[in-house]
Amino acid sequence: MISAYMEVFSFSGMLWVLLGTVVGILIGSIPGLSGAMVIALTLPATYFMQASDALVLLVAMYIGSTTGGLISATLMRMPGTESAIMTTLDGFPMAQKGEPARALGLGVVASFVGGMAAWLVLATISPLLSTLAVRFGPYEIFSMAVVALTLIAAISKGSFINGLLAAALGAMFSLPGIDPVSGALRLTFGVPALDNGFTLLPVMLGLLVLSQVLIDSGSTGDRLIQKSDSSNKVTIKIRDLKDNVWNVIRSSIIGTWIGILPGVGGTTASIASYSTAKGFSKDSSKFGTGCSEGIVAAESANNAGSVGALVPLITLGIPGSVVTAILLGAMVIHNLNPGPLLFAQNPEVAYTIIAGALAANLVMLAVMWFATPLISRMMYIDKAWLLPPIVIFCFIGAFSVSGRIFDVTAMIGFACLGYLMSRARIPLGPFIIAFILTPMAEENLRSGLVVYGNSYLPLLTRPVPLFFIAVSLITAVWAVWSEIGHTRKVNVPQS
Amino acid sequence: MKRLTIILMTSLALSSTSVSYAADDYPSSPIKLIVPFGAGGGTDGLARAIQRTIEQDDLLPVPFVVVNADGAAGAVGTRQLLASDPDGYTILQIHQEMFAASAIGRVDYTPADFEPIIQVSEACMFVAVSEDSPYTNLDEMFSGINEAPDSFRQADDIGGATHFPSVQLMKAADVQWPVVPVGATSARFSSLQGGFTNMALLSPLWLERAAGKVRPLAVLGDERYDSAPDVPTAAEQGYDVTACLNRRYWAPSGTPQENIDVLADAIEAAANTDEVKEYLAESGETLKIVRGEELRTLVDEEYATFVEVADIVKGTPTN
Repeated sequence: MISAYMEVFSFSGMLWVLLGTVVGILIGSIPGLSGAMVIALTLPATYFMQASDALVLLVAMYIGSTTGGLISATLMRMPGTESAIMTTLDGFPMAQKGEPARALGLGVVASFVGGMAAWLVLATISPLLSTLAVRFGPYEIFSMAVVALTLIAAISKGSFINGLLAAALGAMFSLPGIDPVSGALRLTFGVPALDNGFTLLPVMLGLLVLSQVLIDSGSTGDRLIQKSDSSNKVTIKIRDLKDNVWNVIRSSIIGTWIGILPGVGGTTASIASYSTAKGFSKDSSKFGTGCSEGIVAAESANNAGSVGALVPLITLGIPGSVVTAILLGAMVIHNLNPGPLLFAQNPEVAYTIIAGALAANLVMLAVMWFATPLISRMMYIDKAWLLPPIVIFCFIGAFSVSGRIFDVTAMIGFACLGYLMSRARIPLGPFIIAFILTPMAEENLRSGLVVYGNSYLPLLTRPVPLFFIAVSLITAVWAVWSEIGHTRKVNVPQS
Repeated sequence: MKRLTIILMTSLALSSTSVSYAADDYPSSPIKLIVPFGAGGGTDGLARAIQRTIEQDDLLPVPFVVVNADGAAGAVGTRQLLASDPDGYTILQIHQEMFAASAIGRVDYTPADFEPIIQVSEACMFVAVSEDSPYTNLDEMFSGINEAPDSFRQADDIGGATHFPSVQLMKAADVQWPVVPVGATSARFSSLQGGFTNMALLSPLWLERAAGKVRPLAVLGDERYDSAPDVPTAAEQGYDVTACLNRRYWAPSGTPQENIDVLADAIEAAANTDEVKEYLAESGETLKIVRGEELRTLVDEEYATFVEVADIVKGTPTN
């Protein structure tokens, strides 16, 4: 165990960590290029490396790319990776107010704390937690997805109906493809290309990134960003720290736990912790306007989720996400046996991954700390220089999903839809959240129905689903109630 | 624009003519191997091991490139093969998932639209129950299901390559049980562990991975595993059902036989190297080369067994 740490923290080990983290951050920050993509491309190159170096490099890329997504999310309102979707909600407004370095600094520190919290769990109690995680069954995950879905009500401030409309659209676009229970095709209208449905990457790139490019190119010249002199230094304000102590702890715990659940992932982790932070906040109306809590909740949870996803990987050999599936492949290629016996047979491998996660987190903090003043200047660069390469990367990204023009066409379609929705003041967040969560909710509900013999009753008799269902009911009622109150307040002075 | 179209048309025409009499000096340009699943999986792993060996040992005079085209349970990549010229420059590696998609009617192609080049490997599944299950063999399990049919669930990938043998097993035992859509092997293992399902077909890799957590009841292959000589096959227990995943290479039908032979020779040579054998052993798979007429017959027979139970697979009592 000590030797694994020594190896990772040696000079050559740290070189791989540095390389992986920097490449990960870069790739993660470019909308269109995802961490999964670069890790998949790097995998064949690691055949010729030592197994421990290869794993450390890939883990560092993974952690770097999760963090990198916050850069473009904050500065350009374009999530660099899926898990940064929630970061755009408060990161960009704060940067727009002239505090890009504060927004980035908060994001980086939150990412670091979230990553370290999950690392602590990974290094100490991962076998215990992974046995708990497999007991989290279909109804547990379904009810959790429902809680996260009720967030839609929470983030569509003042435009409740528009938010629900967007969510309905998002849910609708997630339906075509292979029916998860019968295995048959549904809603493909005889178009063979639709049998894979719409994949997340082209949808996200079109709806959130390209549509923003369209909006930005229509508004060149008028700069909305206020400039202030001190804004480029990373300064961690005492007040920001004080405001976020509980928030970062809570979000890290939520993020780690959701990360551990097989097949759920960092994006859902940040959706869930954002909604929880909003629920706990004294003044929830400031969410979405550039508040520190929103950034901290989203960023600590997604990094915690990424590191947490390593728990089922090294303890059970169960990959919970695309990236961890590739890491599993890397272990097999290097003749290691991932699974419950990894700790017994190849403990040095397990500890190498754990040590690599720690090193990558530390390097990420150091790199981002020094790079943030430089990066945040990007905010003031004329968009004309940034938008064309982003468009190119989006096309590359959509095409690389499975080498089809279909995905590129779909991305363009979603870009137009996103542009129209923005113009009509229909929020895009609910669309993408519903698009991600609906399949998860559906699959687990319908699996649960088979498991429990077509009975919905376990949703109320099992403690975890009951708790989540109660939480989502309260959230939904509260959201409708405050919406009614809000409309009244708006209407009264008019009449 | 018009000029561009003419240039494009001409170059297209040129490239297709050069292809049509390419058989003499085949291969003269890079060969693309489509992997219809994501990076890091079993299909990808073998494809890249073969590719590496072909490149290292110069088994082909041209570059051999692996391209991932994931989606729709392999259908996205398979369609890309179908859309390519039958010239031996685009090939595909896939296992019985192709039969499953076709037998269930999810795609409009069948194995007859392809030319099998060579089969490289075999991995036969085993019937696994949780360690705390009361069953120690298939008979006990089937009679247990007969007594309490409501409390038994299988974790599987609905409409996938292992769902068909599962239904064959139901037919052979004359009992039916609900199948929970869970997904790939690792998800099935986690579902067993969580106690949400009672039985699953797992790949041989999990015999060691899940040792002490699941109990193997039967090997769904012609022979017992070398690593677990105590576990009898299903056939030995009176149920003649096998569930093996065979990784095979395919070309579009109409590909010249000479080109197929060139490819099969190169892939067979690569598969017989120590490097690929070691990879297969680590992945719980065994080397099993089948090619030529023998492979065509095997494919047709196997596909027939899938079609035979397709209606039950489609209508399996789930919800």
